[in-house]
Amino acid sequence: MLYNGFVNCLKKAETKRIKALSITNSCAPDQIPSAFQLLIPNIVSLMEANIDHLCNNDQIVACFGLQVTSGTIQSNLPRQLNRIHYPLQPDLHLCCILTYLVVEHNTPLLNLNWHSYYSLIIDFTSGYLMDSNHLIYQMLKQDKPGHVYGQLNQMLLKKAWNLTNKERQTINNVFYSKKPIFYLQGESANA
Amino acid sequence: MHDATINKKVLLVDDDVITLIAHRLSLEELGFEVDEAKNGQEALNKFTKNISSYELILMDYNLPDTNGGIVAQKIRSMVNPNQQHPLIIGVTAHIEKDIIQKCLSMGMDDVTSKPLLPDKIQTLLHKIALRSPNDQFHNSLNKKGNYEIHQ
Repeated sequence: MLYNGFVNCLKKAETKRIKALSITNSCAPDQIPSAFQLLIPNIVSLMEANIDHLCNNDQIVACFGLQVTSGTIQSNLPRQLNRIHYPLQPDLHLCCILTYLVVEHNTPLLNLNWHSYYSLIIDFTSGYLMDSNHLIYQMLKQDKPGHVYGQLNQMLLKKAWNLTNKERQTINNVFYSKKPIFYLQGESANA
Repeated sequence: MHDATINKKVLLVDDDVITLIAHRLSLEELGFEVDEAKNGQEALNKFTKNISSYELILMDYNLPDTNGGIVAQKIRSMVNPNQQHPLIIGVTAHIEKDIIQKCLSMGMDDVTSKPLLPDKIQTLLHKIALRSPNDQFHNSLNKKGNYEIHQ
């Protein structure tokens, strides 16, 4: 996923209290398959439904970052659901951190620094949206259980994974194909 | 797993608490002593106070106050050129070649992508061992048979 693509999707899904903010160089969504952009409006809806957990009445949420987390949940779910993102570690979930600032209403969303940001975690394998404490709880099976905000639309999630797997399959087929992909004039695929 | 007395010190630099926890756990399990910094300035302060004690610095690229390349550059400039500087590894979610190239040209010794999975940690251990092949750390890793060095 490209950063601009992520911010543009966020912009299209903006609500009164959840806004998109572009801070390039704050994160790198490069490793997240583009198909997961499909879920951004759904993520925003879930955030909107939990807005009281995210900020006070007189504040808004300005989302600016998304990237894979360094620590993640392990289970047999990726294999079970064919949602393997890390082929060398197929038990690892694809968890991403969405970063946001909490600002007062009417704050111009320009030139904001991101020293004090907040975050929530999206587990694109199970579909759950959670806070960092819940991810840590899932990772270590200790500490406070944290909070789960809800679950992504399963049909959309399935679609995103299907698209991702299909794309990967195509890349693998091309990459590992013994036959050349392009043929010189006069050659044929059956030669 | 490894000898707890190895006592190699690592500085983790990342603004994300989950990254810090995940990396800390993996490294402590391998016998490292871990320090943390959440931004570039904190990293420089910690490094200044412990200038010769870090063996490894794991540096995020996107920091709230600067980028990891600039911090690496400053750290390299603080170390006496006759002394070995700590191994500075960029740990980033970026996969773009120009960012990786930038990190390397600014003084990082290598760059690896997030998440830092066990196989990547093994590669880091390999790099450390290659730098000091005769020390206790290297011997300990080899003795236990779970690490093989290719010189």
